[in-house]
Amino acid sequence: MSAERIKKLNTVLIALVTLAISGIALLQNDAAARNAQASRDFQRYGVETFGQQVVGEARLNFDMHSVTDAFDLYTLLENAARKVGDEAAARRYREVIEALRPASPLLSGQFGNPEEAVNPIPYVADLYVRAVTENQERFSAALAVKGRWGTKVNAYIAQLTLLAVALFLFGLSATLNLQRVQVAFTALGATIAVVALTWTTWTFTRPIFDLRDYESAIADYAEGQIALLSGEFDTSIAAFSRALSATDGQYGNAYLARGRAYFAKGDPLEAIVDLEKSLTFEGVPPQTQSVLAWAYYNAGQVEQAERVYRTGVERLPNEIWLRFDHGLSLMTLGRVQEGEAAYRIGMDQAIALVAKAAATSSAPPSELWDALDDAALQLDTLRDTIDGQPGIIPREKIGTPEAVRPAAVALSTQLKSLSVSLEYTGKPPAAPLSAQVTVLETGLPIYDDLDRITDATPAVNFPAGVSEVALQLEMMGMTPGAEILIKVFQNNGELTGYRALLTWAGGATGRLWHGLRASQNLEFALEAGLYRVQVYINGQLAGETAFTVGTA
Amino acid sequence: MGTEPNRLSSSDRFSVLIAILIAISAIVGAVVAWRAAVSDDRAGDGDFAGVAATLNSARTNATSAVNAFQAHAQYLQYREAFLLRTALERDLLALPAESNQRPILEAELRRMRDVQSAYEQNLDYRFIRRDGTFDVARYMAEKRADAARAQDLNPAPAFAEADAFRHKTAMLLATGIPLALSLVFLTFAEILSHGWRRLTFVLGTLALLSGIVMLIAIELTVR
Repeated sequence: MSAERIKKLNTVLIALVTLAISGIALLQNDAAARNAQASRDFQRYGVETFGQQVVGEARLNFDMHSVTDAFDLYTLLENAARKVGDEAAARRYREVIEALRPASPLLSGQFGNPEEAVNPIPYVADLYVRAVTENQERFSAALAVKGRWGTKVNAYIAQLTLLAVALFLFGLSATLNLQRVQVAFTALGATIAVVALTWTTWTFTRPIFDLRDYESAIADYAEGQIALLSGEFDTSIAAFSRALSATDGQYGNAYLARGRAYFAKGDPLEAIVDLEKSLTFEGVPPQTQSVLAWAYYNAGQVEQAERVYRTGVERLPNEIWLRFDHGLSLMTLGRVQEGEAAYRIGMDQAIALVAKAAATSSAPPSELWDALDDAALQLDTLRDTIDGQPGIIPREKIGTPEAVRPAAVALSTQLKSLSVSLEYTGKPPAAPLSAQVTVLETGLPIYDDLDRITDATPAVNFPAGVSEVALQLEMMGMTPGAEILIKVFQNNGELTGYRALLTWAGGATGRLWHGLRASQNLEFALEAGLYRVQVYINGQLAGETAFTVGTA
Repeated sequence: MGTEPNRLSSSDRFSVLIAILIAISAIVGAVVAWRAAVSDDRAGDGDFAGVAATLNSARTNATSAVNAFQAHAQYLQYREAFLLRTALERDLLALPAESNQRPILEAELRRMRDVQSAYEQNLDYRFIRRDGTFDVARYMAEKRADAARAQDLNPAPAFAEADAFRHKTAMLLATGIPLALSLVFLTFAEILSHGWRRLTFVLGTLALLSGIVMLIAIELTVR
């Protein structure tokens, strides 16, 4: 090939690459524009969602507290007046009750009889939850789209850079006199240009999924979330399935939500399938892994649970609850020492977190107390399973139960005492507990003339409608001024309205009566279910008992 | 002996013309890039203004909702006291003078009058309808209208403007394609000979002219 021909070829190549550059610049600009639009959209959705949430919460707060609470108060006053035969007063309260009705749709009767119980979820759903959920999904979708267009923008910029290098090589080739080198430079430039153009074609043809193009799927997703809130698991699962089918299975959050719905329904195996699938999508929250691990645990697949928890702990080392859940899976596998170590790290982190909060005059997150209480509860459940009671997983899945049981009991006690001690003193328990609760019993209360409990008929199973349960404590080794804390749990959480902090005014030994009641008004009955009672003396667990209230 | 001035051959003149057209194409390309950058900047400004208006709107709605429901709650408390007071007055009138209930009801009535007066202090009767209910919608609409006088609460026009300028940027960059094509054809016209040379020259010139026309049209359409 003559030098003149190479020169002409270079000129043609430069012109063609220039043409390609103008085309890619157009594509790059288009991608950048869509990226900017998505960026704007996600900011807009974020602000709108926040505004909708505040307006909705303000309205709900008014409905629940200004109107419904007043309605309940006057209903109670009316009943009390009627009970003592004051019909005139009852009529006066009734007039106020009727005047309150138009103030809130919750009192219209559309959401249940307000004088018994209303179901606010359908109202709240229409008020703001549906709109907020849909906008949150649009927000996430816009964020994801922004990321995808951003990737395309970067790819086009890289391709333009490669083409600029090719142009440089063609130009360099035209200035050289050595024919071989000229050919080599032209060939190299042409190769780079071909690579860049092939890459451009690949980038251009990659589709960008935008959930906002599937508004019906977003609406179904919101419907599913609302049904999940109402405990209508099948409706919820069906709604999430519709969302998935409309998007051809490209909706990661719908897999996650359906997995949660299956789990809530009590089907951990189906939940695992969806949760695993959800983890293949970008933007899924890291906590999904722990949800998946808990589903594995509930399905009896403890090894897989431990593996996922271990990965979770590595990714989120400061999440205390994750440490405890990992510890639980290790304990269940019979790896007691490793389990104890995991719990110890979690407890040390809790102590450090509370100390840090105290040093900065702030407060630790409320999740901390939930994590400590829940960890203790799970260990209690593990102990109960070993003892032959039905638990989360079958007893045969627990490795070396004879070694696990004492360790679980000791850790549970430590966790409970640590929780109370940290909450009330900001420090872990200092000295071993010297006081002792010798008797801790429940019973039906017997009152004196001043409505004080003076005795009780011992019982652990109470009939429906019971308004107060008496707790009898007999203690020894007490010192005046000692603090006695009573905590009551139902299902998986503490009933904080039942919490009582008492100061011991007696001697070294003595008896204490305490009433567990739903309200100061004995018209209110305790809800049906299993209640667990914990008694702490000076921040350390001193005794536990349980009782049940039957259904009507 | 006199010197004869250098005369360009027709082929040389043709080459000079091609060079001039290539230079014009490059200059028009630079103008396109400049106008596209300006348009893109305007699109960014529109986005910013739209997000700011969204924020203003959300903040106004949130503030007026919180205040409206607080005012409504206060009115309900006033109304409760008012209803109890009137009912107590009615019951007292119906009560025999010697009734031992009378002092209790009178004490209760005094308390209710005080409570009613206390809540009455902050009442805004403009928002109380004839039927005695509180007009939350009017309260919020008035507050929003007040806010709209001071700031932009409607993001839609700003977003529409941003989209228009983004579209303009894309169209301007599309103008770069005929301009780049003109470069290709004019380069071919420089390299090729005879018939092909004229054809590519004509195509290059047409591409250049179409690029210039597109640029002017876009600039005149979207301002």
